[in-house]
Amino acid sequence: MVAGEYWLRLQDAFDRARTAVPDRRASVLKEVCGDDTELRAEVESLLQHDKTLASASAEPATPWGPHREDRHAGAERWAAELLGNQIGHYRLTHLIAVGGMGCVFEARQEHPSRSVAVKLLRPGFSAASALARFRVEPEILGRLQHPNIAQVFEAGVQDDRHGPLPFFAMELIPEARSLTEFALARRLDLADRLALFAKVCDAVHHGHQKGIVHRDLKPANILVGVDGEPKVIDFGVARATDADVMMTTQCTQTGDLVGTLRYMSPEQCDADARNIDTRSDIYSLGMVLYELLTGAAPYDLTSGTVYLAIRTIREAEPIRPSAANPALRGDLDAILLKALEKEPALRYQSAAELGEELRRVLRHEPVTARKPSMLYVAGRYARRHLWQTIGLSFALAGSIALLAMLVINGEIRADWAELQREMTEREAVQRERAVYPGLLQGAEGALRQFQSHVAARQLDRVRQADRENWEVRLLAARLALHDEEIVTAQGYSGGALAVDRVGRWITGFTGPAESFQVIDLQLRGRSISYPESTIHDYWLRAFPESIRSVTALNPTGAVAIDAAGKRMAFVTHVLGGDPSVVTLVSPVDSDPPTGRVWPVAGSVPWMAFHPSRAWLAAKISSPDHRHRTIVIWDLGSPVPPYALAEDVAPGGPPPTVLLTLDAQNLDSDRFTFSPDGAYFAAICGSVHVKVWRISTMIGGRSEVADATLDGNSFNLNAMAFSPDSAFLATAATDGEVFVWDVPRTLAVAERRADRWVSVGEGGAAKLSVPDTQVTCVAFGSDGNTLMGGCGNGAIVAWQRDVRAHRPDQRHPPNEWKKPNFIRGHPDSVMGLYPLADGRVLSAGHEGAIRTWRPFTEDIPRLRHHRTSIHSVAFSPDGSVAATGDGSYAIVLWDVALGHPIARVTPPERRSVRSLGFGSYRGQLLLCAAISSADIEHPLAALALWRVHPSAAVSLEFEFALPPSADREEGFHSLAFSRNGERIAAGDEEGRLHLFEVGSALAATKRVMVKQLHSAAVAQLAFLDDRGDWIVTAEAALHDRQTLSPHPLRLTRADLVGESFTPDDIRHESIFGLDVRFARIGGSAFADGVAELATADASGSVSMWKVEWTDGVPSLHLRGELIGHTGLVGGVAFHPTQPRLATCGDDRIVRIWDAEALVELAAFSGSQGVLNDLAIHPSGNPLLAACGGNFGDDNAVLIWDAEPTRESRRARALFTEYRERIQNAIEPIDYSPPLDLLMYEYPAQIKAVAERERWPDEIRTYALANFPVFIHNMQSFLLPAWRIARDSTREATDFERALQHAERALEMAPWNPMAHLTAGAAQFRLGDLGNALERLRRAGALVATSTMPKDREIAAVAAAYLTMAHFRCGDAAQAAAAFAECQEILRGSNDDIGEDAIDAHAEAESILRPRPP
Amino acid sequence: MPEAPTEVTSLLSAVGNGDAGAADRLMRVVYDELHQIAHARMAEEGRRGDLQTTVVVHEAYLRLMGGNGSAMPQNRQQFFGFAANAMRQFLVDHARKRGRQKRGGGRSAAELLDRAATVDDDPSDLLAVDEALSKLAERDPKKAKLVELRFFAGLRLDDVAEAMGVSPRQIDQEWAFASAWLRRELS
Repeated sequence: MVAGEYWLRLQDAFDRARTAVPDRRASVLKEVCGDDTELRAEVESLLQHDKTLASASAEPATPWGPHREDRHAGAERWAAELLGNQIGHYRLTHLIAVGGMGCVFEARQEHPSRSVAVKLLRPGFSAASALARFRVEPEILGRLQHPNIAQVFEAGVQDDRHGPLPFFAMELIPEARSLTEFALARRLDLADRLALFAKVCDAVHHGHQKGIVHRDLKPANILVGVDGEPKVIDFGVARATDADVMMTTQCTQTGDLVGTLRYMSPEQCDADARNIDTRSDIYSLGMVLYELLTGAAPYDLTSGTVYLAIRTIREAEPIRPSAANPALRGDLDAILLKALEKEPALRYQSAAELGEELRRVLRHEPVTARKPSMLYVAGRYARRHLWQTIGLSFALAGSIALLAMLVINGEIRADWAELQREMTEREAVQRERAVYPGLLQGAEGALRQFQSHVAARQLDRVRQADRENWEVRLLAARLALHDEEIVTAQGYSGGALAVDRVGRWITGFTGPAESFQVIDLQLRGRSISYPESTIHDYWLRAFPESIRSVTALNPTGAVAIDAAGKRMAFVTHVLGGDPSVVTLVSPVDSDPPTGRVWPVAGSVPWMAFHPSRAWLAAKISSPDHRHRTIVIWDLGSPVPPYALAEDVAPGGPPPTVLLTLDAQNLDSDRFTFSPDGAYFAAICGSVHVKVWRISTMIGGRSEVADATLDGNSFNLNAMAFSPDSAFLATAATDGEVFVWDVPRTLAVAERRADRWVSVGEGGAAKLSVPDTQVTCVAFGSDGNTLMGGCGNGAIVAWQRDVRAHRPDQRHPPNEWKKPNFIRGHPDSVMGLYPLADGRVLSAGHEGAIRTWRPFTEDIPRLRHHRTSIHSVAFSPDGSVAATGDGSYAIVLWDVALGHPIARVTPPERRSVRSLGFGSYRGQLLLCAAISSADIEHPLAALALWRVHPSAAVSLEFEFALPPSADREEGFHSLAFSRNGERIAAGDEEGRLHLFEVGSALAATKRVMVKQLHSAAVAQLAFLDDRGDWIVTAEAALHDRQTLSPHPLRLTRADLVGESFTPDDIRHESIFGLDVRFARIGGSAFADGVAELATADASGSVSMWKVEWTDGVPSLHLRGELIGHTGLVGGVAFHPTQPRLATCGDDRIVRIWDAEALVELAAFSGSQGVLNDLAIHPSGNPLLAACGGNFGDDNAVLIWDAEPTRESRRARALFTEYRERIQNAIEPIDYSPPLDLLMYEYPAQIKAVAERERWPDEIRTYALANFPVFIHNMQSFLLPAWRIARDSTREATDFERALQHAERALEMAPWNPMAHLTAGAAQFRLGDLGNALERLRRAGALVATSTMPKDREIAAVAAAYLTMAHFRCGDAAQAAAAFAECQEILRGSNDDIGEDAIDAHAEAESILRPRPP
Repeated sequence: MPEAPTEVTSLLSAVGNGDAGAADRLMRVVYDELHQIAHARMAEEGRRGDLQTTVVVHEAYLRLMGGNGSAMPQNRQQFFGFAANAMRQFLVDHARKRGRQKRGGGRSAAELLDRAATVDDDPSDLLAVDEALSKLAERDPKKAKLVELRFFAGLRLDDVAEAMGVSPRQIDQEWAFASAWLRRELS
């Protein structure tokens, strides 16, 4: 048998046996293998090594909850099919439960290795909105971290053959039972039940604080494991919205429904889901507690229809709990009835309040649900002071008893007053703490989901006193992203609007009275209004006989403005009368404006001007809507000066009809002329666009379009031509936008009998917006931007990918990049109009007209790094920010404008672990811990630069750790003292190094080194202004087994160097640390620190109080901040407000109240983990460094509470042009001759800037700063090598090649090619000593590599070494090197490049010159 | 020798057209880039622990292909093929150099197959997988490629399916077979 055939049989047998049910496996094997025992044995041995079979049989089933009654046979079948499948990262191993909507599996995750519960939503039960929520949820899930909330690891959608399959993976709770079942099984008494439930309240409160309403609290969603800890499940998890529940209930039987409805609050039973807030969960908690304590329900919902059940919930009084369980009489009756109030405002306002109330019952304290009466408080008092009371009662009698009563009474009165006051205060504080973060987090969530009206409402509810808080202003700034607001009209529904191409005039029916208005954008404030009465009067004068019964003018017809803004037309028609009136006015020429007016039989829903000729196209619907035509009027030129005034000639001649198209057949709603006037395009039959050439149209063949575009499959909302008329964008209700290449489309159509063109043929690009429709579309004035207005109020902007554009191509490429979304309007966007300055004007359905920069970012980003950013810092004066990354070093930024102003490449090393700024005697210093993890080339150093006022940077001092074989990283952390005189640095081996900055910077020296920790010093900071005390924090590295017992130490920064460890350390390792200085004056140390914050890998943040005794600090733990779910890398105190900002691997920036120690806001938006953050010395903005894996995630995110219009404009412009500058520089042809390589960049930038019409400021910036953009080492290396290898070049060429090679070496000292190139250039220049060194290094770097490329480098290096040695006169060395070169060439067969062959030949010719 | 990033696309299409020299040049470019990224990553990932190959491969993709992850689906498939090979080469080179500092303990080589390879894996285990994989390649190069994509480049199985142009179901089968075969070889 051929091996290949055997192999195929083996695979086949394995597949069949593996997929067979276990009982049948043996028989399947027998059947497949027949009597081939060898095959069978091999299959069996392979099966033994099959991962899934092994794990499935090895692990026993774990009960997770009760199996539901078998009412859903379909669901069970479906679930059975899923068993064993891989969903996301999880393999489903056991079915735990199955229900009508979905099922729960126990599943195995491979990495990290753990068992999880996976919940799947059954296809068909997942409404589109639920699917949409599945995509949003993961961001929310990260915020929930509470011991009594089951953690959700992941939510996602898997594509299944039945369609999208939403799932989420959550914490597996072994042997879980529902809350009520657990209480029953364990026979818990009342106190146990209350205590258990109070924990549930805490968990729900935690969720509410994170801005999440559960909406579906019921016993089945509160599980209790064997350990007796309750866990709320499904918190923040996508579920059908309330409206979906209502829909589902209509389709299910009443029996199922009651289960669904039972715990729903009255407001949840309303169709309007917007009224639902956290208090709805309080009601559901009340229902669950009621059931837990009584075993019954407060209403009888078992009989009757859905309608009756809902009515009961909304109207019926609940049965008093004590009727079912007399032990509940009194407090618990009151508590339950308060929780179950129909009116949310009468319930407990937070879950914490309810929980606290239950704990009061347990402590026998008065509860707030009962109105405090003297007797009630006395009763409570008596129970608390039971023995005293009894003792008193027995001991004292008669008159003494009376006195005693008075005493007690007095005490009770005092107690009561105290209680009242305490309760009011506590409630106020609690409410404040509960509501404020909820509002902020709700606003932040709404912002991300484009619900700006929700966000605005949330922020409006923030108390006036809190409006100035940093976190509120950060959110408010994001709400006000637009440049300016031109019209804000209440009650205006976003009627028809038109803007000329010059961007000067806006015309339309705007304003509260919906009068026709013309707004001059240049002369702000000048606007001409044509109120209804004027039009009305004029109209009556013009046509006195045609209409008798005019009731009102209805200004809902079309408006149009021509490209130059010289002519405007609007249509009004008369309610009660058939004809409409077209009014033509010209606002520029005269004031009062001149105009012309003519009647049209029917309504005119759409008009458009021809851009260059005096044509006006209008769609006319006959009064009975049976006849629809498109008419093109020739208005004549110039506009006849009919004044819209009393002396106008009534009637006037209507304009000539140039052309009439039968719109009946076309079924056309909207049309437009192309800007060059060559085409006419119309949306026809909802989904097609027809395009005519004007020449054929006017030439008489108007009934047949020149092309029909067959692209969008849903109703078209809008279309727009690009300014050069080369592209036509069409937008539809499904959110899809097609951009057609117009000339190509027409060319294809010409070859077709039916003139239809599909997407592929027409070269159309497809763009799409998820989850909403695109209602309007417009190209930017330069044609490289396409913008869409969306049904959800967002504005989306795509940028053309101009990289592929060659100057010889007539049109730019039809390729578009990932879009930028900005929140435009609270409701759908009605129209988008590009302005000449790059802005866009939008009209929203709510009545506002706003202008925007299309590339304004919600959370602006600084982008210049290509790998993960480790560290971010502001200069002490706040003028510059620096960021350091893992490979391309340090970038200095102009923060306000978002521009990179310098790039600093550390000498010979690459990774920047940490950086800091210092101010020393008026000089700005930048210090960085830099290292290389290269195994052969381990380097670790501290570098100190001076940053000159011009942003030029000079290296002043460098300190390298001695090389060590084991070392991977070197210095981890560094800090400047406030006076700039000291630098502290912590290394990987747990040592603290202290440097004194010298008066000449180069004289800086290390003055102390001290072993403090057993693992790396991850963070450190000076504790006081003078820099006498240092706090160091230790990080236990992942692969080290030894966890240090001393993660935090205080050290005195002198050569004596005492050191202390705080007693109560809570972390195993610390990654983030910040010190807050409080200036209180006094002694040396009193001028120091008040607070310290540390953060660790688990997500915990600790707050410490620093106290000074006799000049020695000590730390006292104030509390822990729980919220982050992963490593916390960045911690920073706000300089002026009591706020702490933290960020970490969960990609969220959290803002905490540093006094009350509660989380106030959580900002998401980062697509990568956040490694570090910094707050500007003035308190704004906040920068967070993102360590992303993919593309633009390697950015610094800016949260700016006070963006100026200038900075916003500059950032938006720079965001738009950054890539273009990059693109203008990168594709420069590196081929020789290269003499002017560096001079080519400016020329190239100028050429591109001219072609693409860049704004002046961008061009100036790009010319001045282009070296910042060259960060491709290859840009230098490739041309340098091409010169160096060519022995016929001039010496000046080789000098240039050497310069380039050295620049490449600076960027990539690990690169053997860079060493080789530098060595070769040095050899050509006769610098033989250095050449030998470089070439040897190149050879050493590739010595052990087996890669063909490395072998080639080794061969070339050997060849050049041969020549260099030969020139040095060392024949023996030359021969040895040549032998090595030949050896490599022999060993690599034929797969060696020509560089090696050429080098070998050159070496050979030098070594063994052939006789001529 | 070194190639500018913009050449990657044209190299990929040259490879698609059967230009063997282009494949070799592309391999060098990709290897060089992976090598750089991996070292940069190792420096920065130190505090987190293991360096994930997936991350390196994806970052190389973005850097070499120009950042727009959605473009060029055809080239994307080819690219990951090359990247997987280069990553394997890198890991094996790295493991050889590191051989002297074997860390020991923990999982067996067979268990490595449960996840993607990382730079921090025990060098001897990585070399064992590499060797076993070479044996598999002699019998069934396609399955070996699959393992390379899955294990050395860290692609998910459905990405592997896309990169190899076969159905996810078929990939599941082939992966089950290949991993069982390798497990047996490694145990």
